[in-house]
This record gives sequence, C-alpha cells and structure tokens, in this order.
Amino acid sequence: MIEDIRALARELLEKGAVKCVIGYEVGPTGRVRPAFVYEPGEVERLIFDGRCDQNLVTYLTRRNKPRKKGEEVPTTAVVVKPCDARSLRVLLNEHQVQRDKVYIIGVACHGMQNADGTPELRCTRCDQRVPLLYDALCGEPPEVLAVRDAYEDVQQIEALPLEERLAYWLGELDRCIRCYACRQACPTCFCSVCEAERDDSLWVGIADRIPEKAFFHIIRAFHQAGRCTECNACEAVCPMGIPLSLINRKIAKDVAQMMGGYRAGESEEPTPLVTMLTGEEAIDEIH
Amino acid sequence: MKFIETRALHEWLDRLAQEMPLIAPTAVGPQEKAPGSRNPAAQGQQVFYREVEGAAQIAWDFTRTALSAREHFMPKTETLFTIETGPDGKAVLHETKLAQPRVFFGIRPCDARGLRVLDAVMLGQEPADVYYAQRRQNTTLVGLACPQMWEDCFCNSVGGAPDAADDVDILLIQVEGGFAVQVVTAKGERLAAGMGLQEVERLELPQPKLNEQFALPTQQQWLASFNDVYWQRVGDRCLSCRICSYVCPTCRCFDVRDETVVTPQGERIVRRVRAWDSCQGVNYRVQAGGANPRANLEQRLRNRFYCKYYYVPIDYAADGCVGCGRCVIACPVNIDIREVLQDLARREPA
Repeated sequence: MIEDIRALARELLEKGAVKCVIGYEVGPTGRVRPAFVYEPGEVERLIFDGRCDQNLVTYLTRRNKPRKKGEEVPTTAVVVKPCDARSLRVLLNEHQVQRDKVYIIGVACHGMQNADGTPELRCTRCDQRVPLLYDALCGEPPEVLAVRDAYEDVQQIEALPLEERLAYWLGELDRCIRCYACRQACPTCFCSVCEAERDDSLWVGIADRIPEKAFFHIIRAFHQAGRCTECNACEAVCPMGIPLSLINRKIAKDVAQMMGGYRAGESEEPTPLVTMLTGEEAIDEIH
Repeated sequence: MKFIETRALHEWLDRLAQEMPLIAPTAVGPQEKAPGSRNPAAQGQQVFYREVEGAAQIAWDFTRTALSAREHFMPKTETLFTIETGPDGKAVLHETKLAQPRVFFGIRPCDARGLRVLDAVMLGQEPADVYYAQRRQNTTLVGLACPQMWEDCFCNSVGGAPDAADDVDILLIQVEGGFAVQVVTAKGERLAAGMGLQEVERLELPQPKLNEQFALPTQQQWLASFNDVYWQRVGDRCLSCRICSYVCPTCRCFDVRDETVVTPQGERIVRRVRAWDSCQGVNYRVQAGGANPRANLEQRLRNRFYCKYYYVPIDYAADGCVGCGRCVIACPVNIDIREVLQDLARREPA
C-alpha cells in the first residue's frame, strides 16, 4: 500500500501532473501528521496506516484559490479514504474544488485505530472500504462489512430527559474556548467570514460565555445538515475534548430519517437541505 | 530549610479556602471518555487551574494544566463596565468590581514565568491596565515544582527550570512525607506565616529529570528567515485555528467590543467586553478599508514564532516563550515549535 502511494506520487510529480501531493508522514517525535510533498525525491516521507485518520480534503478548498491574482490554480494530489471521499464529493457538488485540479489517490481502507490499537469507533460503524471516487486506487480492499450505523450514541443522549440533556451539553460547551479548531478542521466549513467572527457581532458576540458558544456550535451544526459526512475531524482536534461529533451526528440521523436514508456525500447533487438556491443564487452560478 | 508535612499542608489549604478564593489545579469534565483516543484531550478528565473548596479537589500528580494560568489574570472574557438605563431615564455606568485577595496554589514555574510577558504588556507602561493590575496585586502565587520535565516540555532550553522559584511568592518542592518550602517574596512571607512551617536542618531535595536541551536560533537567523519559503511549508499543514494561542501562557492579544444584551429581566443594557483574540484568526489584522497585511495563513503562523522569539524579547526585554509544551501537544497537525526552532537554528547565518 505504502509503496503504491509512493510510486504514484513520484510518477505524478515527475510528470508534472501535480504540483503537490498531500498525504501522511511521521513527524520527528513520532506523531502522524499531514505531509505536503513537492519533490519526487521526497516521496519516501509518505506513509499510510491505521494512524492516518485526518481528513486531508480540508486542505483542498484553500488550494483551490490562486495565491496571487491571475495565477493559475495548481493541481494537487490527495490521499483519500472512503470517508474523506464523501467530504470531497460535497465540495465538488458545491463547486469549492475543481475536479480537474485534484488528483484523487484513493486508498482501500481497513479502518483507523486509536492510540491504544483498538479500532476507532467511527470505523466500527462504517461499511465503506473503497472510496466512491478516485483517479487511482491503492491497496487491496478488505471484505465489505455488513454494518450499518444505528446511531446508538445519539439515541443515548436523546433518551435523556430534557433537563439532563441540557445539563450535559451546558457542561460540555462550558469548556469550549472558541479556538475554532473544529471549524478549521472541518472540510465542509469553508465560509470566508464565519458568523461567529464577524467584526460587527451581528449574530454572535465575542464573549466566551455559554450562550455565544452554544450558538456557534448549533449554527455550525445546522449548516452541516446533509453535508456533514461524520468524519469526526471536529471532535478529533478539539483541545477541550468536547464530543462535537454527537451534535453533527444527531443532525445526520434526523436527515437520514427525514429523507429515506440520505447520507451526505453519496450523491452527485448538492444536499437539498442547506444548498437549495435558485434564480441568481443557483449553485451552478456560484463559482 | 522550611518544611511542611502533607497533612498539615492539606489542612492549611482547607482553612485557606474558607477565608478567600483558592485557585488550584483540579480535574474537570466527565470521567468516562475515550482512553485510547488519538486526541489527548478526549482521553479523560483534563486538569485546569480552577477555584477549589479544599485540598481534596486538588489534582496533585498533574503534568501541566490544559489552559495556562493566564485565564486567571486576563480572563477569556471580562466585562469592563455596563451601561444601563437608570430610574430617571438617564444612562448609568457600572464599573466592574475589582479583584479580591486570593491564593493561586500549585502554579507551575513555567506558568508563573509566563506572567512576566503579561506584566510587561499590561503593567510595563502607563497607564497600567487596572483590571490586570488588581488581579496581579491581589494574588499570592504558591508554586509547585515539577518533579521532572514532562514529555514535550522544553523550559530548560528557553531559560527556565522545572523547579525555578524566580516568579512565585512561595515554592513547594515535593520531598518524602511533605514539601520543602522556599519563601521567595515579602508577599509570600505574609502568607507563609499562617502555614505552620517547620524548620529542619537538612533536607534532601530531588534533582528533577531534565529533557535534552537544544540551541535557539540567533537574532540574525530570525532576521534572515523572514521571507523564507519555509513558512509556506510549515503553513501547508496549519489549520489556522487558535489552539496554540489560547493554550499559551504568554499570548495576550485581546479584542474589545461594546455589545447590547438583554438581561434575564428583559432590560437592554450595553456592556463593554474584552475577550481573547489570536493572531491566527483570519480577521485579526484586517484594517479599516479592508486591507489585511497578514491575509495568508503562513504569514499568521510565522507571526506566532517571531512574536515569541523576536518581537517580545526586543520590545519588552522578556522571554516570549516559557517552554511549557502546551502548543506542541495540542496542535492537531503536529506543528511543533521545537522543530521550527531547531530547523531555523541549523541554518547558516546570513
């Protein structure tokens, strides 16, 4: 698998088909992190294993803009797991990434692991082993598991009485420091000005109090309806350990119930929930 | 050498908490979490400096707290004043009540050292920031030495030490059966008077295990590297979040805004709010008219390192980084300040 990725990366860089390959590497202290490879001679840095759980699709929106006015958008290759591919599908549907500017190195996924070697919870619920879109596929796909997400974690919270549910969330959100890492790590959170960071405090003030924090997280979740692919990037980066995926998974569960099993990033159409724009705002015109 | 038995220390802390606010390291958050998570913050309870009711709530064997001591001197959010409508229809201004005397127990030497930078900015020039000054004056710092340097700590590379007493009023060093006590300042002496300290002839002080020291870049190396493509390469993986600035003991940028709020009684009031801000935020440097000299992510990231190691030492004659290692651990994409420093230090001087 690693050798396939390296060989492909070397070929793409040597041919000049892409300017940069985004994959994973091991940093000097042994932590796995995103890697950006520009030279064919550096492809040996690339790795892939159960520690590579970051969603690299996040980096594509910013690379889809020219660094300077008039400059051409460079083509980027990116290593994409099946879950990441669904995020990429959403971005393509919403015209945030140009298909011909991205080379998708799909990887057959055996699931990601926690630091202690146990499978990541989200991977135990996942039935996708091959990305739904790719330009090249690396690795042998393992047998498809017949699991379907039952949203047990969401159901547990839903079963709590209202007061307990409220107390739970107020306790969790109290620790939020408004660092916006959840938003920044999220591939489908790409507004150039966030509602929580407006200079005029139109929607949310600057205070680090529960009402402001709750408002930010709820607004973010609503804007993810039908778009969040439950990749867990938000929760994985939270420095306060807040279970942010639960909020987005609640919305995803409701969306699936309302819309006959709809799952974000599986169709080539933008989600009808928050991107139903018509007339001069039709999404095909936004580019 | 002064000494206090563990039990006597606990009893003193219990009494103290009855008399005045006592801030100390304490575990916060739900216990049942994901112990195996790749996100250290999600593994279990995190330790914060928080107000406690007594010794039983104190986390004694912690490494470093999730947030630095800064939040108790420059809170994440504070209301500077409010303006309300008085009974006669005229505007009435209410100033925020100023801080009461309190004890900050268990502060790590690096966190105390970080206050030097905040002091330089908030108190170094007239007019001093009255809110910060009051909190600082009214707080007695009782430091708790680290028995060793923890993973990712680098205080010894930036001029600190795990058992440094330089920036606290009293320093406690754990020894067998209790703590060795160094009373450092007059403020510390006043507090120590009530501690019931014993005088002992000899006390074997442990030698904390240190991490490997590394050399910092020179000023010339910093100057020569400003326009280097290196920052683009580190910036490639930066997410432009604010974790590094918000966990940092020496970051001190803030924003001030007047906001209209509706009180629970339905009354509209104006409050002037001061809250943490970060140079990593997209709009941090936006100027009137919309110009943004740090529009690119790598310019913002570069600023973080130059601020700590070039601007602060020159502008305030203080060390901008105390080597607490929080940003190293908390960065979700492993941007490691130690790696950046060593990369730059390896360069040929221009």
